[in-house]
Amino acid sequence: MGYTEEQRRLLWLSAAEISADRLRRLLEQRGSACALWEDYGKGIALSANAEANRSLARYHSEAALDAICARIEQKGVYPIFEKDETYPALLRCIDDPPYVVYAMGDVSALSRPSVGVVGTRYPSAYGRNMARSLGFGLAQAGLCVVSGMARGVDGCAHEGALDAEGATVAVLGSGVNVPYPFEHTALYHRIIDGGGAVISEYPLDAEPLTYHFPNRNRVISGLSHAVIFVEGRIKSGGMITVDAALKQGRDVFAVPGMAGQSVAEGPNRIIRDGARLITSVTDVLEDMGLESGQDLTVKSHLMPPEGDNPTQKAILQALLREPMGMDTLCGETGFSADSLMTELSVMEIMGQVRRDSGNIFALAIRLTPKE
Amino acid sequence: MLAKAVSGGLEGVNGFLVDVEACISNGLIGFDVVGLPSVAVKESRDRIHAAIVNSAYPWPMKKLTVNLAPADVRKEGTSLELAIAVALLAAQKPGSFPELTQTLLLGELSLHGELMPIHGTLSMVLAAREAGYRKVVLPTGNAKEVECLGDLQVFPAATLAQAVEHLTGEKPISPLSQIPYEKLLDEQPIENDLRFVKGQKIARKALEVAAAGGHNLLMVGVPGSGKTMLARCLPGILPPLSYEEALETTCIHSAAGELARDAGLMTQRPFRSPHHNASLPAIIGGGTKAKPGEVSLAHNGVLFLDELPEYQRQTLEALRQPLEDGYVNVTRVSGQARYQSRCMLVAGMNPCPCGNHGSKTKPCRCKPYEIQRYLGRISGPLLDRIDIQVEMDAVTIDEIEQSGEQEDSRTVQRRVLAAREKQLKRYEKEKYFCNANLTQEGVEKYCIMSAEAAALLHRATEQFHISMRAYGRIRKVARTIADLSEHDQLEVQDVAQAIQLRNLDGQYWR
Repeated sequence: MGYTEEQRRLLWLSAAEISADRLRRLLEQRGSACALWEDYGKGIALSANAEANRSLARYHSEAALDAICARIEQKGVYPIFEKDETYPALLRCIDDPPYVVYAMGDVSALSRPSVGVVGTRYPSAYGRNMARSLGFGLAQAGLCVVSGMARGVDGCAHEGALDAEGATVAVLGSGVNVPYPFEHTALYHRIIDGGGAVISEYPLDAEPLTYHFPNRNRVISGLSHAVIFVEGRIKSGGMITVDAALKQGRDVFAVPGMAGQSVAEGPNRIIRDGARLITSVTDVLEDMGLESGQDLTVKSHLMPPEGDNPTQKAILQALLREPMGMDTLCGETGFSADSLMTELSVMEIMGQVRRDSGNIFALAIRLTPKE
Repeated sequence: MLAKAVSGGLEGVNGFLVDVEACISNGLIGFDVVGLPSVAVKESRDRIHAAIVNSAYPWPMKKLTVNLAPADVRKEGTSLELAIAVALLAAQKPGSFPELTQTLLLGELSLHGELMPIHGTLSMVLAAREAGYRKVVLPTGNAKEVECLGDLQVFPAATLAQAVEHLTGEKPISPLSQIPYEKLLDEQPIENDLRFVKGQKIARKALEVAAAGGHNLLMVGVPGSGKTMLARCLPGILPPLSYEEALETTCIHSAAGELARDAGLMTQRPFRSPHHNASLPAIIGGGTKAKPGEVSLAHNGVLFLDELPEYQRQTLEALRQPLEDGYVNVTRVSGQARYQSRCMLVAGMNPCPCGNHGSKTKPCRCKPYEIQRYLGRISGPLLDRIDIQVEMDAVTIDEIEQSGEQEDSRTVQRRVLAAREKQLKRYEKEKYFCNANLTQEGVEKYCIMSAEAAALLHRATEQFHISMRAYGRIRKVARTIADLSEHDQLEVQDVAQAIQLRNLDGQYWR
């Protein structure tokens, strides 16, 4: 693939991780990336950052740029420049769009109408289920699910979308060639191979550095028509994404949580501040003015299959109201702990019930309506 | 002018008999003890001299030689002092101590001539009984330790004078009345009753199953969730100590000097909870004198390790062999000893370094790699020896207040006893006696599952990525649950509950 000279210069700047914001100011002064390249050759500094300067110097040769391009080619990565037609239109509208995003997988996913799903890395069982079912429902309705491939809510949202064989985009805080977190390597390949895309504004092999992530969050909301906050504390990455979404004029939805639970602080706070409360995909679609393809309410999925015994029925009845521990469950159902343990174990194996840390049992939202 | 008395010494936790010979002869005035005495025994000379003089007995101004036989075994401790003193007195008046060679004499002397209690009394008395001795004179402070030995006459003496007067027949001491062991057992109160444990239904079940099958147990939970309290309840639901077990355990504690003064035979299963900064020799046994460690002190009882990941790694690794074999060999320059260490391991730990991971109310501030590193301190091989691994319930105050009447320890103990009896009967011809010790072969032979149960376990292994080793452990635990609910074959509910009691592999250790 051939690049124009300007594009090659942009790849040079990107390799040195010159931020979108910084570049914008530089371009205002000097006009074009080509001009910056020449200025740099004459010894005019572009950045105050020593690390960036080192990288600028290292790649300031045609040979080094050729090597970068070759690596991009070899890894099957598409760099999309801000001026390209394929650059996501929504993302271009934000204040500081990345001047180049590297993408892997099906790039067409980026031009689909999309919704961001974000939240904590340590969700409760409820949070996980909500993220998964929202991902599933949104994908089924034809929307692209955008998230950050982090542990917890992000990963669940991607998985839900993939389970529905829908489109999903993961915006990474590392280079697209660096799956992070490590345990999501399988998910990373599933996204790339399963009709989704993995994108990043950082160069191919960039490390997942802490300051990348808040920056990356603006891209998640920038790509999306609306952002759903599932679970997270008040000081969390999810809240940063919500703030970015508000700044960018995107819709913000929140999944309500139990008062007093630390992971529910964030969504509950933004609901108080005026975010739309949603409890299912139908709510989201309705608010976005879209038709819901099918009934995705929790209840229709979760009725126990025929022939299950009274203990299981009682457990489902109780858990339908709220997740609970063994003691409460004993009180609610009136069965002995022994028989409950038996049935819960069976139901866990059958994928009807989930056990969260602290032995809290919750209904597992089954993604496929009929098995 | 020669006399011989019999006393005892300690080697590890085992007692052995020492012949104490005293000889008074003409020569340079002096007092020598030969026969490999340790420093403490050499010091005894001064105490013996003072005790004899202060008890108003004559001290011969001659050459005094005391020999301790067998001469090639090192003699530690102060148990020989009474025997040496009596032998010296007997050597002065040959014939005045008629039963001297048939009586075991034990005790340390004070300068006043009082008899002070010693360590390891029980072991030495048992060794003497083995050798055919039926009479023992020992300090009153040690009397209770030997009150359950049956065919033995024990004469507790408070002073050297009393002992001497008894032996010469001037003023015989009335023998201690022996009580049957069962009577001691009856007086037993349960210190930590399960009745006071609120909630924690899963962990309670885990504790019961652990007790019934002798399985090791790991509890993971936020601080204050009741791990320690539950662990303390375990001795109370285990079968009562048998007479032989009580003797074994008391011997170890007595030899280690862990027995309280005036304490009798131990009738409670020991509960040892060493702090996590304990050194390796403190846990396994060792030190310059090759003393028994915590794992041996917990013999026939419970070794509780709270905050498991905080223990030194090599200490935890060293625990593997004693847990597996039921004994530990301690070798030091000063000697070698084999201590029994058949105990149940109960471990508690937090889910993460800050302890709040999974808490309903408090946020966890640990980074994922910190949690991984924390969990990684416990090695796979050690985890493999822990059959039951459960998470504690996260309970709130409301739930605790709502929870009603709880089962008490006695009720649970009855079920445990019944299950243990079934196992004893089933494993009559085997080398092991409880489900926890089942070999691979034994699992195949005794843990037969019904078709439905097998199908469920098969599905669970796929769903939860259960390893083959964990698969075997689940079958063992299911065997115990089946014993508790009186099933011959492992039914669906047994297997299902066993899976509940071993579900941390997938969550914490992948």
